Amino acid sequence: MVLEQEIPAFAEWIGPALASYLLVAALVAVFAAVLAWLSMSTVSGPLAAGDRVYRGVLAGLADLRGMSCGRIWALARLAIKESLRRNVLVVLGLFAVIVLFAGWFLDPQSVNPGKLYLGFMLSATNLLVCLVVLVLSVFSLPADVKAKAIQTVTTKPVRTGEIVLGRILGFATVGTVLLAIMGGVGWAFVVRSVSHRHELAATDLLADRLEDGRVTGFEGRTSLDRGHRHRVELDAGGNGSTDTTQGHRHTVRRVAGEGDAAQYDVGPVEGLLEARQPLRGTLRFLDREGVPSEKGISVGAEWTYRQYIEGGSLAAAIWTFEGITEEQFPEGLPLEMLVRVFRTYMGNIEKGIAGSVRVRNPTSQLQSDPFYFTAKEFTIDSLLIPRTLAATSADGGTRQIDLFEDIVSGGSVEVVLQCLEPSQYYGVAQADFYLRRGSGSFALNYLKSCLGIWFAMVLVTAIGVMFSTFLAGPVALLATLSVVLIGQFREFIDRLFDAQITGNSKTMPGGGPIESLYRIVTQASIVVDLEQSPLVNAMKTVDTLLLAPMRLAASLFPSLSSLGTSDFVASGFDIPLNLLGQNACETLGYFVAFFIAGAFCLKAREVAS
Amino acid sequence: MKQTHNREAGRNRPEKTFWLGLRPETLVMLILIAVLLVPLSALSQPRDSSYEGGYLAKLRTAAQLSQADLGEIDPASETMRLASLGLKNIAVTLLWDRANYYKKVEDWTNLSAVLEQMTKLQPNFYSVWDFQAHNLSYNISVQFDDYHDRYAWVMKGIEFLRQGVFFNTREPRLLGRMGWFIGQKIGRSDEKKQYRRLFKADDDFHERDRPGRTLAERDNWLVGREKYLAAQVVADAGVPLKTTPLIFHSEPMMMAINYARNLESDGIFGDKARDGWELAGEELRRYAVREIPTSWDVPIRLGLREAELARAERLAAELETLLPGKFAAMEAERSAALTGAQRQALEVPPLDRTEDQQDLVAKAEQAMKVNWPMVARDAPADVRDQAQRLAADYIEAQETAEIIDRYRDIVNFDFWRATCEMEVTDSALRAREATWQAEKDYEAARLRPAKEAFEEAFAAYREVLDASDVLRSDALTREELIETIDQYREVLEQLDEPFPSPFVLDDVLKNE
Repeated sequence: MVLEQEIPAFAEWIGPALASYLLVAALVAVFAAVLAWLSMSTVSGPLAAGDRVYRGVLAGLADLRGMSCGRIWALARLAIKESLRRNVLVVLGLFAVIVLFAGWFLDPQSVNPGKLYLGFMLSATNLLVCLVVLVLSVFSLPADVKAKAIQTVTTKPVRTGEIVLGRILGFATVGTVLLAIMGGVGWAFVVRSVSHRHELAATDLLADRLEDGRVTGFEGRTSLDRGHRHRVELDAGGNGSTDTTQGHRHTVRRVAGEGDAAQYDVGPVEGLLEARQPLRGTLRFLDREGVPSEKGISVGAEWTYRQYIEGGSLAAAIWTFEGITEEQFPEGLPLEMLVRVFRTYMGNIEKGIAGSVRVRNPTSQLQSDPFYFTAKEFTIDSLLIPRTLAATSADGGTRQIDLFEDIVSGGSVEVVLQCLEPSQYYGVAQADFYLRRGSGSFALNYLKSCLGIWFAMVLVTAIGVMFSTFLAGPVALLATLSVVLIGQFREFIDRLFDAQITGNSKTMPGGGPIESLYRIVTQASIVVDLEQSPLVNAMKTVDTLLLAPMRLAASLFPSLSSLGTSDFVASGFDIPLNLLGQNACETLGYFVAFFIAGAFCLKAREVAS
Repeated sequence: MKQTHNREAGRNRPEKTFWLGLRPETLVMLILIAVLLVPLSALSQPRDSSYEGGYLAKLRTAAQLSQADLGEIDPASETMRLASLGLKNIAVTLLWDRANYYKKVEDWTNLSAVLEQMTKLQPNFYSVWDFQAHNLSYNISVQFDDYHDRYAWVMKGIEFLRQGVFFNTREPRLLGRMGWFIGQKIGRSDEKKQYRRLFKADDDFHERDRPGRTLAERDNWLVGREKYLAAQVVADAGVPLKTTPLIFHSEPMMMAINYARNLESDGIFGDKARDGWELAGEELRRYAVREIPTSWDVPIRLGLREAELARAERLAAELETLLPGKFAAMEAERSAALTGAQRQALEVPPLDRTEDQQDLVAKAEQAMKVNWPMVARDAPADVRDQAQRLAADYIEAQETAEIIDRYRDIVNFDFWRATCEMEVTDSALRAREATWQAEKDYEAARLRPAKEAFEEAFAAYREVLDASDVLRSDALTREELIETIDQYREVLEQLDEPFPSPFVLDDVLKNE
């Protein structure tokens, strides 16, 4: 799977993240207090305003301190009842319609149906759940205020913080129940959709024979099911496996009979709904002279995720894996790899491009003899590095070495990849080579992915309730959508602002909003630099002024998409606990911030009225 | 406090209502909506089996734009378009952007899904099918190293077009594109040997495409020709052909020619190769008599150039009979009217003329120019009408022949006609087979048999060139022969034998 940014260990991440969070929270709090003081100063004068702000803050803090779990839960139950009164369960009917008709829109002949179905179901679940809690959360409080129903609550001994938290929890509980039902149905849909078998008859196979007529194996193809077939290679005993098509393979075994009367059993789908647990390493390159290089070679691809190494030279890609123990890998190192190929000339198209993998001791530089393989693009290839290896010494002699005694040094090992064919290239990224620690449960992985949706749902609820404390329903809806959208485009806005400040339009061509509008009207290409003129300079200045608050907002608001982990599940990788922990902390951080903001806003409104 | 009280009082005052408790402005709006529904109903009333529908329905029927006229109706597509709530075009723009992104990051699963969604939203937009099918077959297939994967993606593009044809039964270009992909992508790419082999063995494709297709019919060029023939049937049914008809209608012929040429390059000769070339000849004759629209609004038939020239000649003879000696007399008269300077300039050889003299010559030639309409204008009154009619016919025949000539050049018609005529002859078949054999022998270092086979081929080529003026003067044929002669020369060098003199194809080498 594509992993453009490394996932840091939770322990390393939490310290700096917490420090940044507290700093930003303090700044925002000060900013909000100053803003409140300024607005009150215009009415009551600076001193009185300062006093009111001070008292307000104290009252708010006291309010938060005195919250009771019982009252919060009572309010949450009210929110749940309100949701049920609003027929929120209708959304389950909508989801059922989506599931029933999903087959119309999903192509079973897709390159990887598992990825397609999973992506679709998780996206649909995410969208529906977030939409429901969004509507519930933004309209509830304004409706109560309008109908004066809020007075039945505020007249009771409850604190404003409890009202806000109660509503958030109530709506989040409704969302959780919906998510649990949709997640379960989605899981069943995916598993049922990708499960299939093929038929294989003796007439579908051709025997590979030696000159003396002895059968060495069989080749053939399976029946056409779910829009695809597999090529089959069997040994002389009639056992083997299919090739990998549509992201999966099947095991084949002969169950009865001989020759034309043989009967074969094609097993269930393998490799599609998995949760690989990788141990990833760090990647570095050697250039064609064997000199360490910061990067590999660019072959002119627009996407620079993968770097290339030249074949038939000293160029190599070297991964260093840490924390290797004999207990963890008693059989050897189960290496899994994904290698792209770039040919500078066609060569023999019937053959793939050959390469080699060696394991090396990072301290003594003792390395094993190469393991040869042929690159299988877009398919994860497996290679077990055994415990006992052969190593050739400088004098040409070969000796047996042990993987853990001679190669692994302090839990660290290097894996060296080289392309063997001159003028052909291998392309790799850091995440393309990993050691497979084991396999997690797909169901658990799916659950983890649903947890990502849950984080997003909780945040949408918190933002919606926060805005609904001081805005009318439709405006709160718009405001929540804006926050979600700005967060969604966080990276884009970051890069746009950087390009605007540095003047480097290569990173983000097209400019800010005004420049984009100008280019649309004048039909100027986004990659063409505009000629310097007072008008263009003024336009860029206005763009910078417009982008600055957007940049600030984007860095403050959460990016819901970054909480999603469906890519991992869809690509068959276990969702790392580090990532899950970070997402949980991020959600909690935003949750607390939005809750406090909501509580203060409601308090201020109460005071004002 | 008082103000608050007033506000409260104002709020509690019953609002002015008009009818059914509605406010007047709401009522006006509702009446306006109701009034607007009347023209809307007249405009957009749907068509059914007994009624031709409202104005829009009639327009759709006239332009054959209704969904049922365009092709099959896909419920999924209709649902998606409905669900987009009028934002279909925005959705498609976003999907194009996503498609480009997924292609960039090599996410083929999502790319395929996005393409599917795009075609669901715009099932009758030709460019979506054409562009994205090309993307699949040409751009994405080459991202894979294994030729099996490449072939699978080429076929994905072709199947994508099949889907497009299903939803656009009145779009001949899509069938044409399918034919082009099957013919050219499978038959001309670097992996053509492997692709052609896989295509023949692709039971699933052939079963889907035309059940019962025999192994011999599974040649990609023949299947490509089938698609073009089907496209021609659609175009001939009166569907506007939004591409160049001259090129489009030449494709069945070219597919048949490529089929025959591929048979020979695969080493298949004899009756099968002759049948292949006969099929090509048949397609060429069909093409030659097909009416092709031109930019001059004069439809032509490529095979009728000679007939048009003959008609012009016959009309000129009739005019000469009607106005004996008048043409020559007008030429003489105009020649006599030249100035002295013009005469002197005309006597100077063209290359020695000064700039002034060139001007004089140009003007003189313009002044001396005589054609039958000029002569007919000066004809005696009793035959003038007849002469002018004949002269107009003469000009029309000549112009048509010229237009045909230009159109023939575009598709290299004369060369292909000469090729199809010659390739079925024994000499040509012998020449091709001997050349193929010679090259095989040479590759296998069997020099003596290679030499003999080359010589047999050259003797046969001699007969072919002697029989065809077009091929004898054709640059491509000459180049091809020179390549073969060069191989022959290499064989002789390795055998330490001199190049023969005189050589049987000396005229080819002289023109080198």
